[in-house]
Amino acid sequence: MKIWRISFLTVILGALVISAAYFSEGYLGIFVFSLIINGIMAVSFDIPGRSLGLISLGHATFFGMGAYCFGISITQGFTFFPALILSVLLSAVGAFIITLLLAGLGHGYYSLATLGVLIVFQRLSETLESLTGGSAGLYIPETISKLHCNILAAFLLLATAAGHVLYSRSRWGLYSKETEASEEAAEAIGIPTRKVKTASLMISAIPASMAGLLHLARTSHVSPVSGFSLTLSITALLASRIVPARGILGPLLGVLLITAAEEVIWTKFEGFNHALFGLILLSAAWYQGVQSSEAGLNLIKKFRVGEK
Amino acid sequence: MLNSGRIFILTAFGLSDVKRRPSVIQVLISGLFLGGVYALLAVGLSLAFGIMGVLNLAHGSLAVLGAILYKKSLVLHPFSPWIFCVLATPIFLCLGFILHLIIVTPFRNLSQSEGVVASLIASLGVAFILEDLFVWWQGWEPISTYFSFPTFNLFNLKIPGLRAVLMGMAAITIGLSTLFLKKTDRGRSMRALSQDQETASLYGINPGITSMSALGLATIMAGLAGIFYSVLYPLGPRDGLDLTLKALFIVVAGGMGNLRGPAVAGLLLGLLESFAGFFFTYTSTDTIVYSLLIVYLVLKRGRRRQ
Amino acid sequence: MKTLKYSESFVWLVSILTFGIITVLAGSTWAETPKEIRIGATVSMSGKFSTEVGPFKQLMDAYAAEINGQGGIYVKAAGSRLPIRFIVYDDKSDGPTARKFYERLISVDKADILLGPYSSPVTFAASIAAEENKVPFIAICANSHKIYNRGFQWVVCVIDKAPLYTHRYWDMIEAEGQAKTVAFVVEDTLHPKGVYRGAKKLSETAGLKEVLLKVLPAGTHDFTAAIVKIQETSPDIVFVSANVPFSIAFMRQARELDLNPKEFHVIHHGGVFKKGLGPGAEGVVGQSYWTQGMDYGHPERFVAVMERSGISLDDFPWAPAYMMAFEVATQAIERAGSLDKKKLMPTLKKLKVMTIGGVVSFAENGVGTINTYPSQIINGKYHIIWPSQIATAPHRYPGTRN
Repeated sequence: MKIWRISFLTVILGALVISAAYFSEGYLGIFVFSLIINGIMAVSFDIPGRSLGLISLGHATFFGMGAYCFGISITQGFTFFPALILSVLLSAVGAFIITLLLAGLGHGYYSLATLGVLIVFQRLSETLESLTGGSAGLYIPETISKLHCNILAAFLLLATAAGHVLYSRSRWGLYSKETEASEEAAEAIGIPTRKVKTASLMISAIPASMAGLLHLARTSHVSPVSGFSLTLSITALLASRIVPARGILGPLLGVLLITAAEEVIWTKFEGFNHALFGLILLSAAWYQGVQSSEAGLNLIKKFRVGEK
Repeated sequence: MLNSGRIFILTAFGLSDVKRRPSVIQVLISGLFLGGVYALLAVGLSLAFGIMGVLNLAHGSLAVLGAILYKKSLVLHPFSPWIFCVLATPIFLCLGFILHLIIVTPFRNLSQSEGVVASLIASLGVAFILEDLFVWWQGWEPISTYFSFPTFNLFNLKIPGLRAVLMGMAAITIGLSTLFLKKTDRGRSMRALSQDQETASLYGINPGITSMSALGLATIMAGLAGIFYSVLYPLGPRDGLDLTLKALFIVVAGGMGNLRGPAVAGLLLGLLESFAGFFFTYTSTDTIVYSLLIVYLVLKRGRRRQ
Repeated sequence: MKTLKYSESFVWLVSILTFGIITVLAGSTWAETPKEIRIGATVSMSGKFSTEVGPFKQLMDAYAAEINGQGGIYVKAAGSRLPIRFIVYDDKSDGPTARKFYERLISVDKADILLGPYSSPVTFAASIAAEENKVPFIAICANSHKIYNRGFQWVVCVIDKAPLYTHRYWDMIEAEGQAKTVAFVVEDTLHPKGVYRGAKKLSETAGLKEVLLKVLPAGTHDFTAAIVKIQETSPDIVFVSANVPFSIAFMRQARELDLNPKEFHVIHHGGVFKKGLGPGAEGVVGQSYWTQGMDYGHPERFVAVMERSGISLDDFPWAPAYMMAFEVATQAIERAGSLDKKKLMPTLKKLKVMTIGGVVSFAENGVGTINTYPSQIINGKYHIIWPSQIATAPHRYPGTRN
């Protein structure tokens, strides 16, 4: 990894941790917290997304599972840390079953099956009203201060980022890349592709479920639509792919870009918010297209600073 | 053997109970009519993915556009949905060409997986832009076009004429598209392109024009599905992405890149939705439908397939 | 195939942009409060509720223009009339987004008073921000008991609780004594389910027997199974507790399949419903907050606000409920004589004020008194049919058939 990239990463993550500790109250507190949560979702999405090429449209399933397990534990009388441990364990079991089921699917089918799982969980949480509060959702009292919640979330982001870097540099990361290139060829040279996929998906699922429970602890409320949220899944996907930078920088910068763009568009402009956001998405996609064409490459080279 | 099979089917569908038989057949008919609209919506998406590898998230928004155009046209003249479909076809074809320039052409030099993601992001951008334009153009209220058509009585069954005609039109549209793909040069080029782009180019097929035609055809189907949909159900100007998701699921169940699979899957989904409400509680309908689809995907599809 | 490349400059650009925005955000929290009354709200300009209330920012701006045209609201502590300004964000019909924006309205925009978002689920999440920050919050179209059973002290609601939403209709049915049985079709969302729970009890009190209950998910497209089961039970009244798109889809299919009870009651039967059904809407009974001819409060001001906003009452039947909330906020500020939230909230809770929909006051848990009136579509027009003092036409029973 180049020195500038390491220092850059340190600056971003450090700034987020300091912001989390410094701004815990008011709107800025919520803004920083949602930035961190989106970061955890995008980085964890990117683990199988980047190495295995698996695009999940239902990454928020794990987020919702974590939130609901935590919420139900609290309503059953558990305090914060026992509820946290219990919900991480329960979510891990749930995530294991889901990943075991879906790990064998091809790319397109995997995307859609994950979407299906998300919808099933959304409907189940609406139907099991006595446990989940139905479509109104669960409301829990404050179990941990906002400051502590922000700090825990910031450390979870650091841990997820570290997990991303370590995984991609490990033997399993290489296995994943081989599996993505050709599953048959990978198996022929003795790579246990199914295990690789399951491991990668589990590493991705656990931070997402922890993000869900921290989100509930911070906001006191989760509903089927906000917990098993398609918007959150799509934001994670966009954040992971919108900035064409390799490694951990891609999703981190993606989250910064998307969260900042949404913030400005939805608070500073009256009307045509979606259209403006759409234009940003289009521009980002076109930028990738322009980069890939000969003419575009030549044009970009003229403006590049310090490229070797 | 045959007889026991017949008894099983009759029992499974509640048809052994003579008093319930008309009700069950009524539900079956409605399920088929609903499935027809789903099928038309999904087939276009499947065509775009199969030929160009484009997961067009603006597909549902194009359907909403169809609904809005129909609603606007009623101010000028009380067109029937079927007449308007014929009139609107060239408009949708042109829109498909324009859309191609936005969500396909810029990414032709990317690798396949990068291209899929880039076109997915671009089409999501287009969907968002269209949403705001729709609200600006037609207002916030749902698009709900009323068209009066009689209901027929047939052997003690009610056949809603409008739904029957729309179902027939959906079948004709899918049939004509299948014929186009099989019998015309352009159609054959599309099929060749979906199988192997490089080899197709060696045989003189122009990938640009061919994929543009495919997206044009897919857009026509989306537009027509939107017109049909709005005659039956109210459609919000921002409902495009919801429609796309529904279509996506049907496409995956039925198979990407062909017309017959999604058409059958669309019909089955319509039937499933109707019968789930008849045999189970309605609230469990979605859970049942999506669980079945996941099981189907896990068991039948996707293993090493793309 | 070419691999993607990226430049250091691009990465720096994105980062500087983002941190710049965060700095601007941090700075904006220290802004001074100007001499105006700031009313904060979110409106579902996108998402599933946008078809119900999408353009209501225009309604708020039109009300502000009306009030400011008269010099504003007199605030005793300021010693003068202050203009009002609505600060409005799009909550995307989503609870967490609404919650985030209410936090912004409180800590960045320094709103003096908050108006609730549309719908019970969104209000459920948004009201937490008001309670935590101790800012008066007037909920509007959100009458699920779950919102008001949490012991919140800073939340009131203009309208009555959901179970009483249709009580005047059942009073009428009981007084007429003609209907004997009812079948319920309920959309599986918070408000319709709350309305159903009340309607079930009220119908029993009115002497009716429930012969069927069908609870269906919000996105249901095919109602045939429900309709054939209703036909088997032949109820006098089919009571549809659902939002507008669901109601249109159900009624269209009910008409096609020749479902002919003596009366259809569709709780939300506004203009979009009427247009979507065409002649099929004739005779349908529903609930209205206000129709032309009702004479409570200042209807002329409401008409002027609607004209100024360019919103059609037929298309957006919730507009009167919003108007009542504006009137309540205005009166609360005027009577408190101060924008101090600790003075404003007790005044609000004790308030008794005449609005266009009748008298508003609040119970201990914050629930208000405004209720709907049964109205029927007769010859294509909406008529209040009960109580007789304000009815604009007699109840037509059985309603016109298909």
